[in-house]
Amino acid sequence: MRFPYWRHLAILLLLIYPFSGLESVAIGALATPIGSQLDKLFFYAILALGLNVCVGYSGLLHLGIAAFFGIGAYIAAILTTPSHPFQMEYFTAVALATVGAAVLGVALGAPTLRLRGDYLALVTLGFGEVVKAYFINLDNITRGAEGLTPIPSPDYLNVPLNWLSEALGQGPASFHLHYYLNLTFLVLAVVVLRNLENSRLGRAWVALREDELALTCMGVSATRVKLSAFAIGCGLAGLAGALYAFSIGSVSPTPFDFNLSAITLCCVILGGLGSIDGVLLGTGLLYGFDRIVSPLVDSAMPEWIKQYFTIGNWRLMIFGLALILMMRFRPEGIIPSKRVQRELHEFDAKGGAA
Amino acid sequence: MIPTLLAVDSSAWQIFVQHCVTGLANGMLFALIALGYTMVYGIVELVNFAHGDLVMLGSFFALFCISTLGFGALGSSTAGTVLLLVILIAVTATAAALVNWLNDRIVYRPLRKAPRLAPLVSAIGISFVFMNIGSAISGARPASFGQNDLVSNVNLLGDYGIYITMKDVMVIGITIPIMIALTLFVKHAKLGKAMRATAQDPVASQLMGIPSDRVIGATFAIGGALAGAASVMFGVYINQISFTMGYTNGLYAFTAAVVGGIGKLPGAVIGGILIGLIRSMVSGYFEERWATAIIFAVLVLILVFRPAGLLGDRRREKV
Amino acid sequence: MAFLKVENLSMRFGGLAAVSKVSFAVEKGQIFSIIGPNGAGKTTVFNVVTGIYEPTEGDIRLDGKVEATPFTLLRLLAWTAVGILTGFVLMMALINVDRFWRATFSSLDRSTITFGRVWNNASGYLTGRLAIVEKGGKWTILDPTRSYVIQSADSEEDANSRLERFEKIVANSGIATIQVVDGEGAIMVGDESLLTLQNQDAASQALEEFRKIEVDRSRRKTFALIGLFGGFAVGFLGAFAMWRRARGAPEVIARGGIARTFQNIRLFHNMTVIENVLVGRDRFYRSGLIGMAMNALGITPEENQNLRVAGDLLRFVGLDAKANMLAKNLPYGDQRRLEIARALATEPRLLLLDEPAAGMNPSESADLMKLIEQIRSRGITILLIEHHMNIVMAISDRIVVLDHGVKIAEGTPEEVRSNPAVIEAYLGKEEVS
Repeated sequence: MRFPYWRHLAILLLLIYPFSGLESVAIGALATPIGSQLDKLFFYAILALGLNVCVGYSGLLHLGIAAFFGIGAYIAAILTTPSHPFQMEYFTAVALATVGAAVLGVALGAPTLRLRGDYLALVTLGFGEVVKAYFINLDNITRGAEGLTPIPSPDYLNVPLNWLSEALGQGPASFHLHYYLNLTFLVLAVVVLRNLENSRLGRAWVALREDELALTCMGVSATRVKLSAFAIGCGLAGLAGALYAFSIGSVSPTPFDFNLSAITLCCVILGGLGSIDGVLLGTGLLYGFDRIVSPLVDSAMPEWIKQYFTIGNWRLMIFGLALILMMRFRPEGIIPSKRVQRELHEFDAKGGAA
Repeated sequence: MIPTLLAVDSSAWQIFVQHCVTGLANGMLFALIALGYTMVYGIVELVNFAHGDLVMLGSFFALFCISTLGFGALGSSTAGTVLLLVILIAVTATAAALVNWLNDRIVYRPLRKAPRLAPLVSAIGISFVFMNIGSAISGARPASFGQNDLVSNVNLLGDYGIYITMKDVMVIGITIPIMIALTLFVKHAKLGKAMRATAQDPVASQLMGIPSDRVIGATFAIGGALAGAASVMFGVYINQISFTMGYTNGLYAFTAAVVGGIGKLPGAVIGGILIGLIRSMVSGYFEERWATAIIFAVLVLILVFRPAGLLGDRRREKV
Repeated sequence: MAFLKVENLSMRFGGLAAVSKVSFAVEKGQIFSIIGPNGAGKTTVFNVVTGIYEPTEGDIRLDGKVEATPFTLLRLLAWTAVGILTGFVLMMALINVDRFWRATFSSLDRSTITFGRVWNNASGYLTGRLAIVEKGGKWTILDPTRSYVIQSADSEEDANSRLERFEKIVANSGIATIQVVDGEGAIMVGDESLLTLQNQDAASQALEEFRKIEVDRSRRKTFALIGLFGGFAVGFLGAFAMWRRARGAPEVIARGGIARTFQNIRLFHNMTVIENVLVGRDRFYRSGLIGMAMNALGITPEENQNLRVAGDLLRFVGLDAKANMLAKNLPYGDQRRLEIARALATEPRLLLLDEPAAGMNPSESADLMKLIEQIRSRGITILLIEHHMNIVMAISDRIVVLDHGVKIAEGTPEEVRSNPAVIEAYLGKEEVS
């Protein structure tokens, strides 16, 4: 399978966007600069890709992905923030956060290997709650509800960017650094996942979803396949969390709740289970709507409507309805993976025949 | 010597009993919600994520009945309070049953033949919708359930060391008959038998002439009614409701259903009581903020050693 | 020596005996059939042989040995590691990880953090040593959890000597007494005055604090030990139990050289035909996770080679033209053949075929017979369950007949055909008229 040309195109567009000058033109009086939101979109996309490994490829319904996102964020924060003694370097912290989240993913996966789908969903959901309780209650480690701040950016990387910016006749823009770092990690994640998808591990993941018993009768250890899915899925979530911590500059427990897990699941399902392009698009649409479109529309709305209705207040309703309608009319997502599309429509055929 | 020992002992004993009573009352409420989860799961194998939020909406509906519709005026005398509770539970249960039935009719029924993930995701969607409605009604702050306690908070045992109020009595006194009635219903009534048949094999029972869609709808309605009853008691018992309570209580209740063995009615009750007890014991003897963590640790332990829950039967995969 | 030897095999589900005391032996290169009416326990025998069920009793040997993951030193080490890790986590949970963290790290910053200091602080918290912290030429003595200052000192020697005396008080806080000398209160252990404070009240208060420290630290030590050893036991035994349970698991058996097909076809329906076979090849891949993730250049030599083998297998069963179809879109007979190809992809020594001809028309089953013969000629022993008697009688070297889980006959096709017990099992008892 080739890397589709439009992915190259998308990457190219994203690479030049900060220098395009669109930022200052298009937004003008409105509230949200798109560029500073785009870099957040990138790590949410990595998070969704991680969840996609568990849910999309392997069929392990994981409802606690936000916990691993949080774990990654907190590891990165603890390792770099000045109030803790480690103060490591950006890349070391990101790597350790990824590995830490992956290890914890395996630690969660190991005792729950024998559980069937819904039970696994509950255990992961519960794990999410437990982790959140820890974030709130470990005052000395996580600084409780107020969280850890500041988390220093790797400012030395700013030098070449500013130089480039000057050369193109523009001043330094605040979102450049994390924009490019996050984009780089996203591209890396996509490339790695694409390779894995077409490797024996990717096949084993899908086979696990299709028929676990038959897979084990082929001499493949379902334990290993499941644990690897957990490790990679949760590791990517941890990576996304670390990028989150650095991009935002602080971490506190509130964002890492079930809503984040559910919305990430929405991204995966909206775009298409098991399809990288779909997940990217889903994230773009959902978070793009949440972070960019809805603040823009809200700020543009006249005062008298705002009194009764803002998209910000009704976002859960909109997400909820979108999910329901999606499941009703296009359960395979916008860009379905070829495999899942077939799977979901098979049942229609069966239902008709029965 | 002996009297002192007794005194020391009995106060520790009193504290223990106190936690048991609180845990039991809480657990009964969880059990009531868990029954809704477990019944729906038993029949369509769907984790109805919106169930907890249905309880939340029910509480707000009951509050609406009390304050805006003026039902609260009834609660001035003892007889009036009993009447008020009965009416509230009846009205809220009916409304919640209707909402849950509509849920099934509009959202889940078209997905009956879809793979498992589709209705589950729809359930999360409905839960979002409910939560948003709840937050639109209440705003971010928790609402008080009526100005004063509807049911008295005075210790029935006077100055004795154990604190049992009318509220505990109410919760236990209402939930136990409901559960007994439900068990008898599922065992002996025609619809109950149809439900069990559909749960075992929907296709075969349909071939036997059981209208499975209607039976499933009825199951949702009954589960909704239980949630409605639970929501009134939650409001009265805790006296404070907020739009996030649906998620938390739903999670506890779902945990209870799974701990007991999802799909088994007695399992839900046992699981609910167990969760309630653990929670009150942890709050009493340790710190409340760790209750969630400990409950889920227990859950994981139980599932590791009994993957189908306490009462669930281990199914062998057919090859 | 028999190739596959099944001895005294019994399988009970609850009170129900699906198979009881069945023994048979398959020689290398044979086509060996198991026949019997429905519910005779044939598939159960297959499931036990392939490790899906653990037999209630009995013994299955392939080439004289039981297929199971061996116990090795490495495995022991792995369990120990899991145990230590669990023990560490549980210990952390029991000793209040938050206070532990504070005790370990709060006195350090970027410039002073060294492994030795971290270790010192951490072990100090666990064992309950009092701590000395130096900051800007001032020394303070802290309680073991480093949450409050006991006293401050002017110099390092001073601090050390005080610490020593305080440790003595803590260690002997049970027998320490207070003595009043000139209005000042002194904490005494035996005849030695260890700490003098302005009055009796202050001294007794201080002694109370030292007692608390002692109680606190002995409790923490107990908790740490309980956590460490309890967690170790749980982790070690848990890992051991998982290994125990998975010892004879299907994947182990499959790697030992036994492959099977299923009565109700269990393909990976939404994968292509060639992918199905490649999953069977999985155990011949050597690349690790990193290799797979980095394989940006496309197809590796390893993948190429396995693709070739898979292609050969598809040609062998006659599915090469349909390699890129989805498995579920294949006609029924092709699905059965694909299952055989997938099983062959694991390069088995023994192939178990569970009703391969079910639902096939006569010409298809004739093809199937030829295919089975060809598989045998590749040196693979075949164990077959089949209801089509013409197939069974034509290709089997030896036949076992099961009825209600009991072996009622065994022999060559001719012997079995004329065996009255077999005829009775299939056709019922002859009525005497």
